[in-house]
Amino acid sequence: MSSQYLKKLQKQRLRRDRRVAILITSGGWLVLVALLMLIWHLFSVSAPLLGAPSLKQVNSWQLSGTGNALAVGNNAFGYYLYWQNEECTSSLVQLSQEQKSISSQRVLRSACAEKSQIISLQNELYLADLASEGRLRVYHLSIAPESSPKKQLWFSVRLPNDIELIRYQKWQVQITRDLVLFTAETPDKQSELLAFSRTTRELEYRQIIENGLLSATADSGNTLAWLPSGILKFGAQDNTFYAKEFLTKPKRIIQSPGAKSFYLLYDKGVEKFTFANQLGQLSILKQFSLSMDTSINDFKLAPSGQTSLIFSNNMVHWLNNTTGELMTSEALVHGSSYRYLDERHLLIAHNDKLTKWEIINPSASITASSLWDELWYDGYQQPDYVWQTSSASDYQQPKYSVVPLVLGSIKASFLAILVALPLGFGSAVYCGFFVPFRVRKYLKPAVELIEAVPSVVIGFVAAIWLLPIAEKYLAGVFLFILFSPIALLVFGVIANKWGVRLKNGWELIFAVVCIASFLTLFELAWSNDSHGAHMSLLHQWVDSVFELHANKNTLVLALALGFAIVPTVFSIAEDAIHEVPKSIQLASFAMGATRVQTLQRIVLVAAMPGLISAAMLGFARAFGETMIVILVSGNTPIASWDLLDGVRTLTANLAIELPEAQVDSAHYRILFFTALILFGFTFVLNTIAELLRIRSRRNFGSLK
Amino acid sequence: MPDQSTSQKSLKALSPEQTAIEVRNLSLRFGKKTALRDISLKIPKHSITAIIGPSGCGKSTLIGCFNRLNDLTPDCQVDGKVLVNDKNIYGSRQNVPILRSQVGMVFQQPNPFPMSIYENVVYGLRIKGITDRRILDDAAETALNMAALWDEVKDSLFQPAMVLSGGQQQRLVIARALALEPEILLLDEPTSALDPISTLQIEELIFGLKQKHTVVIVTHNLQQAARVSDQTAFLNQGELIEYSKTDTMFTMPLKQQTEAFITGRFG
Amino acid sequence: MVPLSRPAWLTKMSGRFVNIVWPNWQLFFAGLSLIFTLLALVTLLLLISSKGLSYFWPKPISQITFDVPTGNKTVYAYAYTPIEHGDIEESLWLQLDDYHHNKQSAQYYLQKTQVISEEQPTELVRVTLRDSRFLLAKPVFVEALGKRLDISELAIQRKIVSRLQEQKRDIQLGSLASIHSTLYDYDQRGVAKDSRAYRIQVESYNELMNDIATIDEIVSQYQLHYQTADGVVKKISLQDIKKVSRVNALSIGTKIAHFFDGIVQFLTEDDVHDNRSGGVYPAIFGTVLMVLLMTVIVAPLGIIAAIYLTEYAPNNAVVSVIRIAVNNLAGVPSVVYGVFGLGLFVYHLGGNIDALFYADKLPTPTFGTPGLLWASLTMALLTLPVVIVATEEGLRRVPQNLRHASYALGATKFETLKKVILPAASSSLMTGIVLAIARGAGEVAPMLLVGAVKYAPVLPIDSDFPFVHLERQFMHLGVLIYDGAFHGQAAQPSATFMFSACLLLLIVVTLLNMVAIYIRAKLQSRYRAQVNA
Repeated sequence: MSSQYLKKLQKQRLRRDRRVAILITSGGWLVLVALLMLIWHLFSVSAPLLGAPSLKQVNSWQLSGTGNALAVGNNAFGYYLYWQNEECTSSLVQLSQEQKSISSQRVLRSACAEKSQIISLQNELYLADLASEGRLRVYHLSIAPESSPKKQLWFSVRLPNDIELIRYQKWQVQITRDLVLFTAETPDKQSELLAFSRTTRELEYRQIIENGLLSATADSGNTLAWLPSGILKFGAQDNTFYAKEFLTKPKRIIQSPGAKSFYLLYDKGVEKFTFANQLGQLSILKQFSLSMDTSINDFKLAPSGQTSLIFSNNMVHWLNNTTGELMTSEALVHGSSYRYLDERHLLIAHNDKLTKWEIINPSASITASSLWDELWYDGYQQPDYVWQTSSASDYQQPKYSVVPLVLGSIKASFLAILVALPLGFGSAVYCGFFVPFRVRKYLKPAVELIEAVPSVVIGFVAAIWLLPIAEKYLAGVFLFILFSPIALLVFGVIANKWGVRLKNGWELIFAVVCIASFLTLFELAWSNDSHGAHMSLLHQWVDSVFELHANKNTLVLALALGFAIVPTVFSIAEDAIHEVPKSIQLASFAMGATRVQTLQRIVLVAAMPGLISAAMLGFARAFGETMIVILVSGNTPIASWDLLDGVRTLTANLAIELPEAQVDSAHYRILFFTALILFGFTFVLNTIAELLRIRSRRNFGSLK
Repeated sequence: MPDQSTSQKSLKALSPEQTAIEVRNLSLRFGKKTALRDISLKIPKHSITAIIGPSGCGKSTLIGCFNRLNDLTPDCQVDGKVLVNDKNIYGSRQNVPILRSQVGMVFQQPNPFPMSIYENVVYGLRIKGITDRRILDDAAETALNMAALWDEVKDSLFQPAMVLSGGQQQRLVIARALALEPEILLLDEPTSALDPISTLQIEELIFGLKQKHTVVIVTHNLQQAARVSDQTAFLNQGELIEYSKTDTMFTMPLKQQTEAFITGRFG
Repeated sequence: MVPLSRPAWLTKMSGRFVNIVWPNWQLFFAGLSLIFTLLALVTLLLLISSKGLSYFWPKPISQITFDVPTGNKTVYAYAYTPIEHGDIEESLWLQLDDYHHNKQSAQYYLQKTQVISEEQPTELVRVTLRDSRFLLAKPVFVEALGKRLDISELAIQRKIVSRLQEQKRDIQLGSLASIHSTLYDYDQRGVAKDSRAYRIQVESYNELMNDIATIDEIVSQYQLHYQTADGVVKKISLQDIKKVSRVNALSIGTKIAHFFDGIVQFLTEDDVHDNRSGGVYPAIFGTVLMVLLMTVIVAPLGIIAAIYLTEYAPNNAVVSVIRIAVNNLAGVPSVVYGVFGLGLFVYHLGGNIDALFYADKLPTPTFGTPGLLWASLTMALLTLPVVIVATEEGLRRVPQNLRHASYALGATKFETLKKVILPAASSSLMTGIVLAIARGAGEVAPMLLVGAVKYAPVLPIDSDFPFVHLERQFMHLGVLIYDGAFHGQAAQPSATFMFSACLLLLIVVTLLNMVAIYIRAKLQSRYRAQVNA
């Protein structure tokens, strides 16, 4: 073996060692980074919820002449704008498909003598025309980019003769699903409301309304009229009057897309009201009111109805329509008219410039209040904690309170702990302290075998097999569990009286015998007699007491979830009890204490940190359990501390809703936020439990 | 009777060819704690040197410097020089694994690898890259013979090493170290975990090793030091108190501390 | 007796009574809890086993006549255990007897009083069709080439039919296939269509096609005529029949044979009907494949990370924090990993991959949707902490002594790792990996988000390049069970199929755990490092 070769070999060895070190170090860091990325990703998706939305200008165009954007519509060629230059000239501006440029601007000439109003309904434009001879005409405008808009007469009616048009200066037309509404205001501030049928053109409704206001028609086809004494709702099916005394006359009344609520806009404030129908009693309830320092120039409701923009003093404010909170964003925006193009884009006109703005971070309109407060939702009688993110109807106010979910998780875990702690601790005490080694060798793995059963199997059996049984025997099972310890007590007394001595480990057999006999007795007392017609007295009595309160889902959930976490509690508690140093136990026995005394005074005290740790870890494990909860509970989010109500936990909610949520929507981000809550909670609990365990080990580390 | 100072002087006057290990102003810190303070001595070749002292005085740390095993402890700071074969092993160009294959070590607790006896013995050679079975076999037989274990295990070379008794395991571990044919063999309390009979066997073994190897043995057993070693170094609290030929050290210790330790008044 | 440590209020209340009983109270309670727990476990396992296995045991077919408003009705059906709603006992009967109509089976919930008669005639058979549907009927006669034969000839005639089918297959796969390839070859080479060689081929082709048509025609003349419960005689072609079994007249031996046959069918077929019957092969396949893929990813990464943390990482505060973090990640709910997998892997990474490589297929997502790759990655991440913790523990248990010995002999760090430390820690390593596998096979929540679907039309592995299709969706046993329970079609009587699936999942997980224990024991005895006394 030449020394040359050996020398080379040694160099190779060192080099390989270094290379391996680099490989392992980078591999190790890669893995750790991947795990940390998990946490980071959760944060990064939820983080946008924290900020506030803002506006960014993305495009601007020059138009001929200054003016106002009165309406925005959508046709096959893209968006178009009804633009009023001056009193008598309006034009239609067609934006290209991607809204990157203006493809045309056509001028519609209208005679100055005629006054007209543009109405936008469900992406269609209508032009209302009031001729001096008292004829009201409504034209439908169809827009094509390269040609002039076509005016097609759509509705025409002659106003009643007694209406003196000369006196009416301000008039307004709105279209509902089957009505055309006309209001006009006289110089002495009186208003008259006329409602014509769209189909028959007959005057169906006429009323003097003092100081009335008409709202724009929502896509649902409803229009609201504000009266000092209440709100008139011209609905798709019918007209209803909701009585409520209003003190001040608002500047505008604006309807929510779903028509369940509306806003009253004042000079320096906004109020939101909801329609409520309580057992046939129609009422209007105020959800929130907002007051500002400066006058409101304009108020624009987003197409989805969840946020509003308030333009005041050249500042833009975001209003969360659910919580009533105002978020101020930076930009000073000069505008004379504002229009929502779609949910994410805004058109602002100023002088002769038309600008398009993009809304950055719309999810940030969700605030802590949206998630945690008791809010007054549309259509509700009072504020409540609700989680409801989807519904059958078109316009649905999403309700994002995480309170029901958090409560649900806590309740479910608490129920599980109720079952698992006695079982787990009892078994741990028995297994770790009373039982001789050769029995423990088999008992401990036997209980830990439960851990190996997949939770989906436990959930399945609980849902399919246990639930029907519980339905039938609910009260019976409950009582059985309650009275078994007492029965055992009685048996213990009897056994003692008869001088039965029990060797170590044989108590188990005795306990089995006791339970078996108790079960038989119970069954006999409980079951129906042979004819099946009369229930035993015991059964009847119990039914009358418990029928009203018991909920089988809760009981089965407690049993199934508790059963699933018993091995966690058992394992750690048993270790804690078993690891209490023999030396101090022996010292206790040497001083004449009984087994139970040593258990109570020495062992349990020494193992206490471990026992607490076991309870915490069990709770954490139940908190994070998904499958059992989905399969067994009713999955209804209810915010109440009542244990017998249905629950929906954070985990079940994620599994059910996340696959359907749209990426980067507020719903999506909020779900990630709940995942973060889950993560944080279990992480903290686990850390505390681990620290407790380390401390207990340190306390007795020196002893053997 | 030779003069005490003569004995010490003769040790100090060793030439490099006669010196196996020379320690020059060696100081060692683990973090803030100083374990060794300014130690200088020369260990002659082909002899047995014992290092004695009370618990925690730095004996194991000192020999840990000779094969740089102390590097494995974090925050280890070394000042001074340790010269093996006239080369400073704390110099920048030292190949540590090679050094360790040249300076063997045996620990207090027998620590055979969970492999067969044969594999244990040839482990060091395999590491070095030697794969030729004949060479390995030869080396194994030689080493086991030197460790006085060959006769006992020659028929069960491929049994796991765990089946051996404590004393046998320690001898196996010595054989393992010897298989690399190190010039220097460091023994850290090699017999303190063994029974008296095994202890004697190992002491005999050590004695026979000095023909071809330089042995440094750390021991807390003064009788063992007196029996086995040629020169003895007495360490206390990281400082070298006295270093001279064994017979003079034990009969006429120069320093009062040494005398107090040897007579059992402390430590 | 020594005064005991019970609370004072208890003594005041119960006095001497408690004196006698107190020492035993806690003992009994502790024992009781243990009993309950074990009892619950045993009940669970017995329940699943018995219900699951009962699915395979051949059930007798009953002929039941019952009372309906329009008169009496007789059907052939399977009976199930009666259910009790309050005081009323209802029985469920499941009938299938007319396969011409939709696949749905008819269910009758009958009260005891409605039932007029119930018999189990021995002539009734269960005919399993080739598309896995089955019908219950009373066979009348066999028609073969126009002749009426007795039922006893059924088996022989079926053999004839199957031989004919074989002949047809031989022709198709043999001569016909070679003609096809020859013609293809000719076309490639541009041989004229009117050349003699070409025409010969075409003639042979036509001849063979005629032969096949003849066979088809002959085969169609073999029919089984059977009678449904209402007396109507129908017929079915023998070629559609997969199996005919006279369930009511089976001997024990045959029943056992059917039992095992049913098990085999369960494991190898791939059609699930309303979560009531069928085979779960794709689910097994998908589960195993996903777990395999996950293991391939998690094992090396987890081990390397553990080695890094134990052997190479510096011993400062940052690393301690990281170690604690990794330990705690094992306790994070599995659904959170699913959320992460969906957000980062499926939408983010998958979306980007789609945009870069599969843009032409958009908006149909290829990788931007749950699939095999993302599911395996997510599960790998989920089980990573488990592997890391187990490996770390194993590495830590190797005595420092051994390490020092190796270094003292001149080994480098890598050599020491490879030859001494890893072998000594190998049992813990294996434990970690197999724990990961067991957990991966059992966790369903992440699968709901990133992986499995209720029904996947194809397996993720087939013979098209690249053979393993990572973007495909797959079926998972746990998801199957969840679906069966959640969508409630597994009503109690017919839930035995689902129980079989549960049993299968249990068996798979148990096997894996047992393998873990076995390997760990083996490795422990082989590499047991020195144990200090």
